Amino acid sequence: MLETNNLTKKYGKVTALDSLNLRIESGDIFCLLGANGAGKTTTINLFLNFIEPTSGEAKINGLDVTKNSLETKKFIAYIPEQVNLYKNLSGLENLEYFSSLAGKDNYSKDELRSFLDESGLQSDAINNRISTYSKGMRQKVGIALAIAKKADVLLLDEPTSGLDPKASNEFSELLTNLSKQGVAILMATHDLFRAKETGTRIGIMNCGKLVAELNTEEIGHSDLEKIYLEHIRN
Amino acid sequence: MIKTIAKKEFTELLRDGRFCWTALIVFALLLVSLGLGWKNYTTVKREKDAAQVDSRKTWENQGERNPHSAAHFGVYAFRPKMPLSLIDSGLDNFSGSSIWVEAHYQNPARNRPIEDATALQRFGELTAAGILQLLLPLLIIFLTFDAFAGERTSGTLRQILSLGVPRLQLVFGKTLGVLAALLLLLIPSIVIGISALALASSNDVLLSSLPRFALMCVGYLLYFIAFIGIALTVSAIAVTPRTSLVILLTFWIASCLLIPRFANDLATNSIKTPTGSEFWAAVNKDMKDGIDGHDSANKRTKELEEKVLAQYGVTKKEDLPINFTGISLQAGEEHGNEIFDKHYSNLKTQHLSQEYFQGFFGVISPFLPVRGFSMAMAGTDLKHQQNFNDSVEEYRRNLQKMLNNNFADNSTSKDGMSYKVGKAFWEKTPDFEYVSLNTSSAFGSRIFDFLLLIFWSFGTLAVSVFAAHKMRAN
Repeated sequence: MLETNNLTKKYGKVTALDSLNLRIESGDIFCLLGANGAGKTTTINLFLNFIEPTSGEAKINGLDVTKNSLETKKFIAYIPEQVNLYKNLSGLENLEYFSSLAGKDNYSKDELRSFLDESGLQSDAINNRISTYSKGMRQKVGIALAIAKKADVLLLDEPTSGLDPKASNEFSELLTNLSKQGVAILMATHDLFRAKETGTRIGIMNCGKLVAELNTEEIGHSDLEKIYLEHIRN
Repeated sequence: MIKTIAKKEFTELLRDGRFCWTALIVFALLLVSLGLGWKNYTTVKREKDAAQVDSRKTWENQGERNPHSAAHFGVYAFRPKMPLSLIDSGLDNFSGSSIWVEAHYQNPARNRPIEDATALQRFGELTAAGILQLLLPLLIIFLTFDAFAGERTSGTLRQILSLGVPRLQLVFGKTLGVLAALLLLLIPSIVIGISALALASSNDVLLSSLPRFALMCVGYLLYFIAFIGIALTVSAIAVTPRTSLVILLTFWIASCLLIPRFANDLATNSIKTPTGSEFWAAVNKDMKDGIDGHDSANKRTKELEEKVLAQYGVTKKEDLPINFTGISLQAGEEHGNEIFDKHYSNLKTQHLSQEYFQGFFGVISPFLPVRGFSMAMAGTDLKHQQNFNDSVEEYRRNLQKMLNNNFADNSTSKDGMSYKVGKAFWEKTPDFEYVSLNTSSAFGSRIFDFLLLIFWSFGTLAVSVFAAHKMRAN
């Protein structure tokens, strides 16, 4: 479960994030929409405790991330726009390394292989070095890591940008599966279509403020685009 | 977790072509330098051993001669080549390799190998120590400069930190990974080093050299850890790998090239030593006028004569049962000894002060303590050179005393210089045998350098842990 209370981040006079109040329950897929610089990545960085909030708090499973920096990270899996992996190691070795750093160091090779399988990576690519992987394949290793880590919370920062429609679709299916298993998902994205398809809730941000919150079931595709543009224009 | 991180760093390094090639080059250089060191050691040792035997043979076969003439005939003492000089030749090339043992004078060690060398050799000899002290840090810098900065640029740092890895473990894991890769290169070198040592020397020499060798290895290990710590710190602070590399190379140039040079110049300029001619002029003045300047040579001889005549209850030298020349010669030696003690111990203190002075720069350059420590363990530093000089002088004084006493006791003043002895006596005179400083006193003389190395290695590791805690994910 993710929660923020009046979370604010200022860089000098610039307010990157202004009193954000969010609550994302387990099973939710919350999609954050907004132009570049609207505060989406700042929100994710604050949850990761990569930056310190100016005021307010961010909580994961009820724990304040600044006070429990290492503990809260145990609940998270983080998938950025580009999942960054070690290019001289294979997909399997990367997964093995990252999952043991996450404290799951007792998986057998077969278990790790099944995680990659579950995330849809072609089985003949598992032992190839990452330098030969496409972007979609890297994102799948990221998902496999989230599965291996048994994360309660997924933080996604434009994970599907640059993916072809098929890969993007596969990725969304994986997210839906995970949310059914009770994972709380926060995804920053520019893809309105994908947000409507996959998300359970949508937040629109502008200039550091959360200006609208919607349930995806209650709106159509064209409505979403209209609402989005209206809020962004101001 | 540390093990996992170390293993991954190690695997990545091995799969990185850059590491393999540079490591191979450094390894090849180490091999060549050990080979050259071994060849040089065996050649010089053979030559010196032969020369020492020759000198003794010449002494024993000098024929019938007056003992004092024999003292002037003289004998050579050669500084033995230390076994570990095949790794670190230290000051060997710059300090005298032999001393001429003769009457009246404590001669300095002469025949410095550098005098025979070409200008090119002044630039520096290829020794294993040089490679370990200069090139290995460079290799460490190339392996470690992007440890954090590179992961920051490629984004994997965010990935790792999002997993909640404690930063202490991250630093130690990376340190061990780099160290393991280095050991891949160093362990074969150690084995080859010991083999070269075993080939070049007898079993007991090998055994007695092993503790020194082990200490030397510890010293270098601390030095390498210091460089890993520095590289990790800079890599954690610098935003890009490029900045990290520039900062680290600047540090390398400063600590391995500039500071040692600067420390040396400052030491020799602040603590002046007399030139050769000034030194001998001062010695000769004291010889003539006495140490206090009021005790001329003539006056001393006169007083001695009166004392000896009174001792034997006679009034003329010709009536003495002993040869007064022998007594007077020995008295001259003893007077000379005081003068030499004064001047040489001044010089020794000045040289040591220069060295201590330089040693303090070890606080800003880890290169200085490792250089000093390595030389001391190899037995090629100033302290070992001085120890050799001292033991040759002790030998000289004993030999002179034996010759003068023989002269005084076995002839009378009436015989003058006509008294002669032969081979039987020459064979009875002691031969020069040098026993080098033992390991613990060699180590004791360099305890400051050793502590500095510990300070550098643990200090920089602590700083790198601190830097990793302050490190930003992007």
